[in-house]
Amino acid sequence: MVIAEKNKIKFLLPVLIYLNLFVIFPTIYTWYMSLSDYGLEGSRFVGVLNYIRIVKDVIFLRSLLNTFYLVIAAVLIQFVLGMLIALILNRDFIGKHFVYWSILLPMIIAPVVVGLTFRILYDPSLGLINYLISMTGFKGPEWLTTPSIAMLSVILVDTWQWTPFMTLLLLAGLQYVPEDVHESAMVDGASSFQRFVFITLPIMKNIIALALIFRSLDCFNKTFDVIYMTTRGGPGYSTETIPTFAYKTAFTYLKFGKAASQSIVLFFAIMLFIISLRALIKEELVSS
Amino acid sequence: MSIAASYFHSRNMNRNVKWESDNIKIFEKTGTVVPVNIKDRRKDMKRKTVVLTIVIVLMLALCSTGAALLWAGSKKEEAAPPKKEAAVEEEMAVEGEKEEPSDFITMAEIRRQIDEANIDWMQQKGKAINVALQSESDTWALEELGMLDLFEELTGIKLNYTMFEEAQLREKTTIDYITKTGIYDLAMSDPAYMSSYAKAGVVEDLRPYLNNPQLTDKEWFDPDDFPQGFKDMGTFYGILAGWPMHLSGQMLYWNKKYFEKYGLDPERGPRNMDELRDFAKKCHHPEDGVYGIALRGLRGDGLNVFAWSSFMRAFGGRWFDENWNPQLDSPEVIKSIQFYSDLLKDYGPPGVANWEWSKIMTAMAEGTIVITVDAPTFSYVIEDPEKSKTVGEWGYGPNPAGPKKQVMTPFSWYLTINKSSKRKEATWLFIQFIMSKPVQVAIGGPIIATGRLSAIADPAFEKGNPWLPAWREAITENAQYADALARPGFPQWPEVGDIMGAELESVIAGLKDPADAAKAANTRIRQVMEEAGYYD
Repeated sequence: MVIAEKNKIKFLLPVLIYLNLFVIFPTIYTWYMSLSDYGLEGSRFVGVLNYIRIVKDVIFLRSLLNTFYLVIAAVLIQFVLGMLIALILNRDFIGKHFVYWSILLPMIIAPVVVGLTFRILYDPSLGLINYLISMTGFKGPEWLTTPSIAMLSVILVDTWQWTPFMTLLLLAGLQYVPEDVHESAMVDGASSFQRFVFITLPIMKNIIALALIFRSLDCFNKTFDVIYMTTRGGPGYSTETIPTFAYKTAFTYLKFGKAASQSIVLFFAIMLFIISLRALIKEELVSS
Repeated sequence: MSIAASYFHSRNMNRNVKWESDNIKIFEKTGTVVPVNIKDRRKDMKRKTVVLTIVIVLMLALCSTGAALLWAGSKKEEAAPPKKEAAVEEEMAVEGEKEEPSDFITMAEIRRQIDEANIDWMQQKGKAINVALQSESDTWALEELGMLDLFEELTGIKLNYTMFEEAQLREKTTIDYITKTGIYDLAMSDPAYMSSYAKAGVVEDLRPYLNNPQLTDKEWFDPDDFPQGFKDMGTFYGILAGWPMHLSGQMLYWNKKYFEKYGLDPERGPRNMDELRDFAKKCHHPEDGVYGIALRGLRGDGLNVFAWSSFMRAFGGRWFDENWNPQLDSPEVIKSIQFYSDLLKDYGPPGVANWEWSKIMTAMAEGTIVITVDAPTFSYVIEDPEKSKTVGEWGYGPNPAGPKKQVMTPFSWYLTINKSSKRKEATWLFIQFIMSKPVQVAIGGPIIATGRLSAIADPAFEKGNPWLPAWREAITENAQYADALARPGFPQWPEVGDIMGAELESVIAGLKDPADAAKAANTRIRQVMEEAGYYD
């Protein structure tokens, strides 16, 4: 340990270089870009003009709302589903290993591929989903072109791909729940639901908070691929989220300064969200 | 718990064991520490090795099957006879020569014509250029017919080309332009964006290269063989920013077989908007899986706005007035939005609000839609027996006339030279080569829509393409109705077009009614123009 103490800087250097190059410098540069009018012709400093403009923009506010709607709904659904699957996987049964590994498969596929595949699946005339629904006699809805359903379709795709992530984390958390406490509660006559709510959940609080935070952070940004591949922002602007809108502002409208300011606003929104999430759960995180 | 600890813990999902490492096991209930049984460990390792081997073998098998399939597929492509039967083929078989690139011109003839040019093709020998192309029929034809290899051989210039989808192409070239790194010497560009590029000064003016006798044999290249209108569409702020690649835009397609089936004259397409609606209604039979009409619905300045713009102009609408005030809330524009969306809602396939051109083309090849107004280059696919079920069933005509006029939205992709490129002369040689007469005739074979008037008019193409005369007649007539104001080229167009596209899509999806959408679009577009300083 003494050697490590003496060579602190040397050991930290690679990480520091990486962080600086790929995290700190781009963030500072984005800040700078957001304060300037940056187009194809170059940039000039304009102060907070970009921020004033985007706050007045109805579409931007709409996409901010959509982003949070997407994240909150998706993470909640994934949490519930992930918990259920983790509880099932916690027991032993025949073929458990196979089930365990095959559930992890969706996570490995690139989000772009998932988005494209689901675009075809969701198609009302060519797609598999509506075909299967029609076999039961009902007519499937137009998934990607009905404004109210489009966002739900995107949430569904995200759930399909990332529930395994929650499952993994929650399953790991379940391992720490000791058997004997459950046994004594059973002896005292508690139902399994009561046992779950009063024993399992409190013990898992840390892991749950971790899982929720990680997944939300992920969801804010990773959903770009899925939305871009399926609806491009939606019928109207119903699936427009800040990442897709910022991408469009940058690469279609060629207004990089504005796009940077949108990203910075998202950055602060996410920070607020995470802080409030932590306060809500009130735990001592990452002290282990 | 640290990460290492949790690894050991979850290594074995056996819930009786609280902790297991390589040497000891701690049991959950009793807390007994037990040394790991060597025999158990050996069995465990054996089991794991077996599983691992099986997995590796499976993956190898999968990969080799995939590779074998790919190899077989490419072999099949090479050995496949030319798609169109041509009597000309027999003339071309020369002993000992490799397979001809095209049915309409031999490799020897191409080389001979290239040699006729009074320039030294080898003058830029040894350089390497990076070319960004869009993945579509022109460029596929160039690649498949070996034209790109021929270029390398002819000029000694190493050609690195990449085929992108439209959005990625734009993304990559935008970053290149903004950072002025000159990665892509040549890029295929959409004229809508070229005005921004020209204004920002990131693309090169092509006229000096065209007029340089060292680089260009003007007489041989014959720049007048390209319609002036298309060259004008590539001229912004006084510079010729790009060279037109092909003559495209729109055309009316109708399926003659279905027309006959549903009691319409198969040789007569809809001539005006009322007929369009009427014919679509008669051919709309969703119970048989046949839909009357499909038009682009997916939002985008090059997507639904492109298709709708001709309707808008045909109804008498316009984008802006003389002072750049947006005119999208005028009654004519609202009427055109109403017509377009009603047509799709009533007689279109389900989900059409999400359709872009490739979906329309696929549906045409499948025989599920009857009428459409879209790019002429679809004929490449729908008349190809290997790709389409509806070969020989298509009728071609000019855009239907609207109440005020008959309009076609012209379009072409343009070849632009990056101003930050260090190999501009070599790039110009590339442009000259692929837009030259022999190469255009060669690729004109399969795709017909080339940039040169002479290549399109070449009667040799008719062999093996019985649909060609009708197509050519339609496109020639339609070219008269080309309206450059249908899709104006100014720097803010991408944003303006995208806003309109989103509103149009919401009308097609039934989210808004046309008047509201038009007003919303108008307000936002006004905002954009104001921010850009048009009203100062």
